[in-house]
Amino acid sequence: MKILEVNGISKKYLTKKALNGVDLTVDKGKIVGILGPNGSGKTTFLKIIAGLTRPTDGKVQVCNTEIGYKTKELIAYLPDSDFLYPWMKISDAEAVYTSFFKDFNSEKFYELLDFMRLELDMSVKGLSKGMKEKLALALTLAREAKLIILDEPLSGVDPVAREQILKAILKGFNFESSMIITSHLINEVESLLDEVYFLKEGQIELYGNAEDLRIEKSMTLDELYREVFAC
Amino acid sequence: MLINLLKYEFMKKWKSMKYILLGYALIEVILLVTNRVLLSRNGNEMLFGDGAITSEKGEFLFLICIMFYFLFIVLISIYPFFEGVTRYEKDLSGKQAPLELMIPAPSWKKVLSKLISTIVVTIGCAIISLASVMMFILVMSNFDKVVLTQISNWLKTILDYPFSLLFTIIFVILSYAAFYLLINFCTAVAKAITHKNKLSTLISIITFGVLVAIMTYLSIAIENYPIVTFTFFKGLATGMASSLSSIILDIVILSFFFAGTSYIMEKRIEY
Amino acid sequence: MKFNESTPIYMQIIQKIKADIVSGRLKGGDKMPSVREFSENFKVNPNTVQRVFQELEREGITYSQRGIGTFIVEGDDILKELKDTQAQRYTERFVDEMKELGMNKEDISKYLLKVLEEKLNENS
Repeated sequence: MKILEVNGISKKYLTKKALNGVDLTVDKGKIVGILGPNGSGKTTFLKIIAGLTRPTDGKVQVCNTEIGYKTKELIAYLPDSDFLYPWMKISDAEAVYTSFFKDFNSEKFYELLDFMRLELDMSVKGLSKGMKEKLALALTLAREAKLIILDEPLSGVDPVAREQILKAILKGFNFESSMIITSHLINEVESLLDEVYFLKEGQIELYGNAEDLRIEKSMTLDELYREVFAC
Repeated sequence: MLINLLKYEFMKKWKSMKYILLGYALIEVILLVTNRVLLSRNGNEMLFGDGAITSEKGEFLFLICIMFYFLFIVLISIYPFFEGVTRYEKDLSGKQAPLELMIPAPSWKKVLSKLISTIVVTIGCAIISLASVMMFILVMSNFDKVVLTQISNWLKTILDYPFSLLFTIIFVILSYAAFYLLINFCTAVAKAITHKNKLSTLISIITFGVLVAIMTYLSIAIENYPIVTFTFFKGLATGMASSLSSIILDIVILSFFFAGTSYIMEKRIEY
Repeated sequence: MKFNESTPIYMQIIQKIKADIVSGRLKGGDKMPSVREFSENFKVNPNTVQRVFQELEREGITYSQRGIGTFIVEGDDILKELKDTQAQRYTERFVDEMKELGMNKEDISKYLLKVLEEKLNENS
């Protein structure tokens, strides 16, 4: 059973078409990268899978279930860093996640907090942007969801924190679930990916197994990205 | 899941109301004590019963304090409503909207939990308001026996009509719920169309106007088909008249807004 | 570890491990980290790491004991063979690059000996 199956997804807004007939599949235990510049539709695509936005066309199935509130149990979506209430303490955020998500693993959460040097009694108000990103990531990865969706997990974060985040992502990985990562820092995430999809102006330009693409094109994914998106 | 949603809603409400309630208690105590002291200084122990205020200087401050005392009572009693509707608006399109939308529960449960928590907090603040009024009367009259007996007589009279009392309470709660859901319905309709603040406010106001007009028309029209009429508080002044059909209409309106808000939240809201 | 060549990552990792074995940084009998630890330390996809482990086992460089872990094979012949193949590979790369410069056999030997001398003097 495929973790995620996307068929012909389109999303049209009044002024533009963000996605135009996108197909994608994700198998169990894989890390899939969706690469593309800003405005290519990556975020829209992820929000559709997470159930936060509705497609104008096409079908999305997560573990053979249509997108709805039931699939929200299966999917862990990493939102923008500012999605927590400023008055919350990290322990409050943990309580909220524990009560709503059955797959939330508190032990894993504490481990990740430790690794990111965050503490339970810290208040969201007092966290820097980087720390908020790490907290959001810890909350998301502590869920043993079938599909973990990370939209630009490295953006706006300094190089040292990026190392930590990449390690944390791998810590959070397990062979029973899958991950989708988007990033435009290709060379940093390249080595994490099993498969890649290059999304250009709402359409899949190129996709395949990461290693096979490297062999076939005789270049790193970073170089391949530049080739695909050079206009 | 509903319990968890309720806990979450109460947590949010508590965090936003904590300091307001504290501030309210502080201010009201200060105002009441000021009033009490002013009254005593003018040689009068009681405000109610015999005796009147004599000095002019104190009179102005006295009146101002009374005004503000009751002003804050009014404010605290309507605060839960405003908190409830603005929070719903933020839940749909504020920064924390993804968290709200991510929660894996059907929308009707989310709407119900918000409704229940708002009603509970409203009742709590209503009790606080009544207690504040009661405190005012008692303190200013220095716990005068005459006043106390008068109040307990009023209470006894009301309690002579237990069913009417119960019905009135239920009716008030349901009407309040309907109004709350009406506002949220308008918010949901607007946010389903756009997240831009100015435009969505406009749309929700227009929707509100249209719906109120429709509801008013319906409540007037329904009076032609009352089915059965009831009178509550018979013997007390003119009593209170109501008909079965208008009760049914109120319930239908409430259900419509509940179902409508849930549907829109489930199917039409996007982040 | 920097992955900036255009060869598959799993092959680059295998080369690194082989080089470590030949140089003695990894010894026969040493326990390899788990797939998870490996992937976290090198920041590499776990499936890629699994492929590395499978390849190494296939080539007879490692063996795994169920429930305990994966170990480097002990024994001199493996070491010798690895040393031989890696050294051959590196030398071929060097010769290819020199030939691209247009050097012939004498030039290549001359430069090789010259640099060897210099390097040896540096070390002592």
